[in-house]
Amino acid sequence: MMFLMRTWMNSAFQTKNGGAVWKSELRDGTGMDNVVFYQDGFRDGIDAGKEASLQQGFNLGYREGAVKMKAIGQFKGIVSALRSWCQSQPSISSEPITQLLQKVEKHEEGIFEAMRKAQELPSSSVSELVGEMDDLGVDQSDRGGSDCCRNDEGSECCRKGQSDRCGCDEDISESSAGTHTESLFVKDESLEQLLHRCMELVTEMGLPEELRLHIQQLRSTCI
Amino acid sequence: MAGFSQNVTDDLFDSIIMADDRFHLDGYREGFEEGAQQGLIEGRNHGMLHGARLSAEVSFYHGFALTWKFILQNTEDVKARKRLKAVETLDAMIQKFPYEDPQNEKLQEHMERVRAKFRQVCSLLSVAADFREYMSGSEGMSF
Amino acid sequence: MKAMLQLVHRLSAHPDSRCWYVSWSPTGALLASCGGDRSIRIWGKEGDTWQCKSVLSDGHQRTVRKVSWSPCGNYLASASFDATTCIWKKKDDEFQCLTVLEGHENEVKCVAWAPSGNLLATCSRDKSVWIWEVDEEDEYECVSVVNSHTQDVKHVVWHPAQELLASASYDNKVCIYKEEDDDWECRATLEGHTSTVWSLSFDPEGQRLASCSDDRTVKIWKDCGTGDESVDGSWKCICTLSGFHSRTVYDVAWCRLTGALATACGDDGVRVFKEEAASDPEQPVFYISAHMPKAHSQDVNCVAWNPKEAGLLATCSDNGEIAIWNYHSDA
Repeated sequence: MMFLMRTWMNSAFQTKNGGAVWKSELRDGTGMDNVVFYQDGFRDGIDAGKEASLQQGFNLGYREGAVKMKAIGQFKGIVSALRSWCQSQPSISSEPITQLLQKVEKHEEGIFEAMRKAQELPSSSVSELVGEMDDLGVDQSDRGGSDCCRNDEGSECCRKGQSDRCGCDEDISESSAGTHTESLFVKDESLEQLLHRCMELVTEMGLPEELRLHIQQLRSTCI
Repeated sequence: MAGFSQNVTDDLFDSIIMADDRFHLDGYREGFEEGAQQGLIEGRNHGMLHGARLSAEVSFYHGFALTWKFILQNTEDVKARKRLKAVETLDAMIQKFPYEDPQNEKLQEHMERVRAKFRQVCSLLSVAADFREYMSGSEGMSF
Repeated sequence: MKAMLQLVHRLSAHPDSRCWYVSWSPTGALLASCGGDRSIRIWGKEGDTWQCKSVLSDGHQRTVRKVSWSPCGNYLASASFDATTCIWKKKDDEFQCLTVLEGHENEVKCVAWAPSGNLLATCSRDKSVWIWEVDEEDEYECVSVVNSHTQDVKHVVWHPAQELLASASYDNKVCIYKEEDDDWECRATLEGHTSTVWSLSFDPEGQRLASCSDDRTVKIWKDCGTGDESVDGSWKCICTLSGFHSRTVYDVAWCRLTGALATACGDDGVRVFKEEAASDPEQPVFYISAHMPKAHSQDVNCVAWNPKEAGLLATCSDNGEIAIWNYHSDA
């Protein structure tokens, strides 16, 4: 019986730092059976609660992830296309654009990496995140979805995505990876530089003005 | 948060109350709340990578198609017309892409069509399609 | 007289290797074979024997899985595990590699020329089917990539008269494609086989399609639509030949001249089926007309009817051999 009690206590503390879980009826010692009943109920509840919310969480995260990668994905596509064009032009060196592509790929990897790191958050900071998600979560699932498919108004949307990412990083820095936030900011600066460099190359290669304007537009959605 | 889980919990609570067990019920209620939060976080983490991967891939195709569209529109080549048409079709397919909705039944089908069109575009442009990273990365998609 | 398969000739076509496929030229004068030795061989009849006229060995880096003659007979296309398709041009008795079609991610499993000669289809382990257009200057451009299968695509075959394409796959399904707004689309999916579908063959009129499978059956599908526009989902399985084959059926071929249906089987046997003349066209009955149990010492990979000489059948096997048979009908 003691073993059961301890197991239950551990799980209770683990999940909520003692707060609401600590029921007076149980402490009164009116019967150890009650502890077992409570514990069983708690376990069943956890499973049911998880199942009920997983999809909602997935949808929420999915949209956030999609918004985050939109600009960098498109930029990588642009630079890849430019490189393939360069390679078909004997008179133009594809070296500068290849270098740019490598930097863009690295930048994209950095964003993915940050996302993966955010997943490895220790469970103690889980409840802090929940608070944050309540703020931007359910509401965003209504508005955010339509925002992120509109190209012209992507600027607001992207900014949202970015501040969100910074939010995540602050959480990480509090718990473990302190240096991570800093490196990410450096990268954000360089994305702007990369876009600028791309526009320069487009001009140098004598490619259509519309293309340069498009990149400029993409740039304005990222700052 | 409480509102979203109310209906589900009510049903489940009914069955548990039949067992006339207040302690079990208390535990269940607390557990449900805890589980709902965990599920939201786990689901979100899981969904975020999926959404990011898919968006990165589709956006890549989009940037690629747009760039070639701008280039080909200004090219005086007999072959350019056919290429331009394929590139414009790819662009149009992506504009219609339902990627903000992970539960869209046609998402996977749509993705396959976009990928197929991209490969045709690459073939027409004589570009080696270095998109294998996407293909392998997306094989684990489960929706 | 009882029907029978009589051996006319046996050739060691691809020694120490597998012979994967054989294909008759449109006039029936030449037979092309391909194999695991990366080569394509062209065979022709000289007197009473069959001689190797050419060896095309410098086109592919890996196994050549299938070959297909253009309807005019001047071009040969070869599909290889090296992810490419070669187009060979025939000049007198020589063949020159004209162009190499790239684009598939990995092994190309089959290539087939459309009856018009303007279109070419290829399929691959990368799950896709590609349709290529040929212009007057012998240039090939990809007009469509279709990802309708979820697994390795084993075979593609064109309808004998219409621009209609069928494909068979490791996903147990058969897909039928048509052109739609400049793009090719899967318009019907034929489900029924319980394992890999290895090969397909249209009947002479193009109203029925035979499919053969790893599930040891051959299925006959019929286009139950009324015209060209009703292709969608109108193909129904009207007959299943089961209980005849003890292993995988690797190939099926419908003779354009006699209507006989030949199969190549993993039990080393070659079988010829005929349709009961009196059976209901909506529920046809096929009977086994001839069976050569040990046609080869290993798996039979392919059966091909000569397009001009009724009853002349070529088969090839894992042991590298080609056999040429004469089928005498009982009817």
